[in-house]
Amino acid sequence: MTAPTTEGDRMPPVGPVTVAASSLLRWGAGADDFSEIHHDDAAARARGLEGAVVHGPLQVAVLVEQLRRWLGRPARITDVEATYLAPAPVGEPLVFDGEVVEVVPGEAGDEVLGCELRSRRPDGRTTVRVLARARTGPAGPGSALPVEQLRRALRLGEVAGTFRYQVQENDLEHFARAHEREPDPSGRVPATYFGALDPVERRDLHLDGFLLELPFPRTGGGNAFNEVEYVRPLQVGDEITVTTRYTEVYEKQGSSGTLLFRVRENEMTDASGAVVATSRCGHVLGFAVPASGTSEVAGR
Amino acid sequence: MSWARLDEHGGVRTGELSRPRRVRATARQAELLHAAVELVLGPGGDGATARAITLQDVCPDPLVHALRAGLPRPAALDRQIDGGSSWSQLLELEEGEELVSVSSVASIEERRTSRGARLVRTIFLTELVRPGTGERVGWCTGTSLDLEVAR
Repeated sequence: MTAPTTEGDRMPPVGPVTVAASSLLRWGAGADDFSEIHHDDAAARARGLEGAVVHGPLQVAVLVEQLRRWLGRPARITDVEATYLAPAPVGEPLVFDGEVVEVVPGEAGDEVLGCELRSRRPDGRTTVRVLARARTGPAGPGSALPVEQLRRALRLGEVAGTFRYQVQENDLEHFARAHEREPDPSGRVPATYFGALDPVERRDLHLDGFLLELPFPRTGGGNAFNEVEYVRPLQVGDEITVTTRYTEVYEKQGSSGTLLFRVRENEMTDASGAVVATSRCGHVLGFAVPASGTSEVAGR
Repeated sequence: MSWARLDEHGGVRTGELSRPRRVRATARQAELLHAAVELVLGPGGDGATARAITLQDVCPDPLVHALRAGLPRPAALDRQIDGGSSWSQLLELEEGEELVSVSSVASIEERRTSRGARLVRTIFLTELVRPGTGERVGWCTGTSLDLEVAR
């Protein structure tokens, strides 16, 4: 098969093919969907259908796998949006086809393909329509991870943002439950809650989203460390202003690939302007970077 | 015809949230799903591609996933049908990796069909994160339609 490169390129159709009972059975077991409408005509009719129907998500999975095979490696299908338009009766053959409807440059120097895929009945009626977005592979040889670009994006050493949070009782309840504990009935705020007053973890500060677009497989990631020094404990009702600065960005080689570290400091002050605490958080992302990989992201 | 937002339908409220669930990208589940697909398409030429675990393997039917998480499906009208699904994957998954999923009723909307029947669309959103780091792996949606049969 020839990989698609331009709008209008058509995915080689598959079918007409009848989805076998053994396929429905495996799908039902894998998807934990044992609804009778997929194998019992009478039950399906009682639900207003003409008879048993093929699972919609199974048709989607067929189309997505067909697209994956057509695109080949290293393309990655990142987004799939399916609409179930009509029932696909069990025993009736289906045709699976589609085409590229859009090709746009990706932020990581690769290309993003928009594809429209369909599953159709013999009468031409579309049962499932899928809009899929796929990213093509690495852009080509060059430098390693975009450390300098990341430093600029994070405004290293400067104030990256200032945020105000109120310590509320229901936030503490959520925090306790997220840690699978019951809230402290005395209303005492645990010291670990300082970690929750982090604009990055709260998704209020997001300066490095382009890292998710780098054309390298991710090998891992997470918090490398969290430290906090506090002057006094937090109290319910405290209004805390958090000023965030990124202080370090560096790269290291690890057993799981190339590791990219970002370190930030949060200075927390109360309504009177007094410093309550300072936290320091390190976050790491691991990438499998080929020896000649490149990743400078255009336009940032 | 445009959709109008509803706060509630059939006792189900917008914003309703499930308890967090721990889910795992198991090879066994992926094998079953891939086998179902291969029975339609035939075996793939690239075995590695065929075996890669994706969000669709962890959450193959987002509507079923949200209902299994304990959220109620609105059924106030005559027929309930599945309207669609979507998946957005941000990070690659490792085989056997454990994730935390939380489902919610993201929206309830209604409109009239061209035949004048009432149609209510409920979208269930499931977000999946890595426990410990809280990294967002991706999300998926499942759509349930509650339909009045035109008489």
